[in-house]
Amino acid sequence: MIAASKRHVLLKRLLVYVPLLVLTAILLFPFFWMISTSFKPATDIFSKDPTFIPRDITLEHYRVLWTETQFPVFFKNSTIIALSTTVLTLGVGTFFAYGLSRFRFKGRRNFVTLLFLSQMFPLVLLIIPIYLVFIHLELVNTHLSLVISYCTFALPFSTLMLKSYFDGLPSELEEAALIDGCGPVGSIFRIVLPLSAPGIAAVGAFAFILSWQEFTFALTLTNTNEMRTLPVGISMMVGFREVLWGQLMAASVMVTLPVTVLFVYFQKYFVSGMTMGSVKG
Amino acid sequence: MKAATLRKTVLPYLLIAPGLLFVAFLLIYPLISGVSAGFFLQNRLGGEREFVWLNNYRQLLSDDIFVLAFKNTIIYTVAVVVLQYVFGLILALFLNEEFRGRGLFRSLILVPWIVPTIAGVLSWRFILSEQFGILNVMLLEAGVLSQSIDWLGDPDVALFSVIITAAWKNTPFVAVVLLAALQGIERQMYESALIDGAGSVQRFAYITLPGIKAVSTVVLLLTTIWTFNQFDFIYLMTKGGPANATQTIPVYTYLNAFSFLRFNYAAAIATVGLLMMLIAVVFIYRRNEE
Repeated sequence: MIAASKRHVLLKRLLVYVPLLVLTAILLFPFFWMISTSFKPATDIFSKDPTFIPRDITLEHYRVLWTETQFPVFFKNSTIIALSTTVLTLGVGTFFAYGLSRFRFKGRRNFVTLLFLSQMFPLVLLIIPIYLVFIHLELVNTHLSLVISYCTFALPFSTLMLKSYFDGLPSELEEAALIDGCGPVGSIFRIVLPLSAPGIAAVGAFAFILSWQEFTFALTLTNTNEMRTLPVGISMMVGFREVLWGQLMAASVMVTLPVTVLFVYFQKYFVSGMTMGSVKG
Repeated sequence: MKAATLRKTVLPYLLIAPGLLFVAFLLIYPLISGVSAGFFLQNRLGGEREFVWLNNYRQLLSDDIFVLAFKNTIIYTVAVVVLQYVFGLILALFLNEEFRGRGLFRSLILVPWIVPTIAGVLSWRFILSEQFGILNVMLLEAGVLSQSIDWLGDPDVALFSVIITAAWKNTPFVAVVLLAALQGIERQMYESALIDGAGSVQRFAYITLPGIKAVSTVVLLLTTIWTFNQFDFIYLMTKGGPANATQTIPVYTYLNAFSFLRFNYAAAIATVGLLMMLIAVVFIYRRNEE
């Protein structure tokens, strides 16, 4: 009897583990293959019988990438743009969200709905007038044009995330601060912001990731190698005749690295952020 | 006192003003300007604009590539959304079971979603490449194929390849959201159903599915919108080729605007896309309301 029920439990375990392992392996394979290839010598990459784990490990692709290509320039551009976007989004978004969370004014409800709806606008339609405006302002092929664009697209989601964070903070805190002689502006800086620091940091990480990997705006608004960001720069490193997969995979690993670090650190917030929107919705 | 009240009434507007400006200038203005551009014709950038009413739209009807892109967009969106939902739900159901290492699996399956698009696309392009791609090597070795397939270069299979890889990218999102919904269903309901003698199929149909219905509607709406508007993934994968086999409305819009410099025509294509998407969204919303 005991043996039978034990076997039953074991069978049930297997029925969960095996399919889950298979599905996870499929989901992870491209990521694994990218890392593995980036460390393989060219002879292994273009061999007729490839191995999953590199036979010999080489750092050659990374060395070439950092010393003989434009990659460092792309990396620098992406870093500058992503950091600037993060700072600007947080600056604008925090007050925006706080205003929407704490004050009742005309059109507030519609405004929140509009932020939701803006996720629906097709980017390829918006980008045409935006491009024409930037041409007019002579901002095409500058970091600034990308920072402004990314802020706009990071703003709706960041604001909604921050708003729900502020909604969760009891407003009695600020009322108490007001009684103690702290002005409304002071209470934001002294009470609200320090208390919501973890949430704000997570939203900042979100804005960074979004602008770090954005492709469409970067493709449209930059036109020289000196200004290109990582996603566009790397996409243009793909040759027509001969494709240097080792180098491309090394570049892919480098773009993925900062995103993964941020994600692992902020995972809890991201997962609750992305589920919150849909589950509450 | 007066200054304080003034500050109190002005402060909210001061707080939201910068955000409002951003949204107005970079979301509202481009939307209106973009849609209206579809009714004009302009020979060169900054030149005279001529109001041509529906001419751009009339041209669309006789544009074979547009008709193909229209068809592909529907196939692509439906296939990707359905695949993502089915596999997302399967993953969520597994992860809802109690077993060792559940937390680890829940983090691992998120990988496709967090890997930047460019890195995901390049990995797939290498895996799917005709000559050195690991997929062909494995399928040939297993005897499934007798000769290698050019997964992204053959017009007959390219759309299929792009659909599968696009579904790979966002399935984790669906899985995580559905998992949260599954965990919101009370355990008690399953226990009392078990006592009443309900089988696993019945429990799934009468407890699980109704329990995640509201969240499913939101997930389907979001993934439909995202998939429909998706530009970077397809563009990086195939640029709409080979022979327009993977051409979709967003890619064709972009090519018209920035490769052929036909801004007005591109605006008309995108506007048709916007209308199609609105219809799809209303349809999903209505169906799930019932």
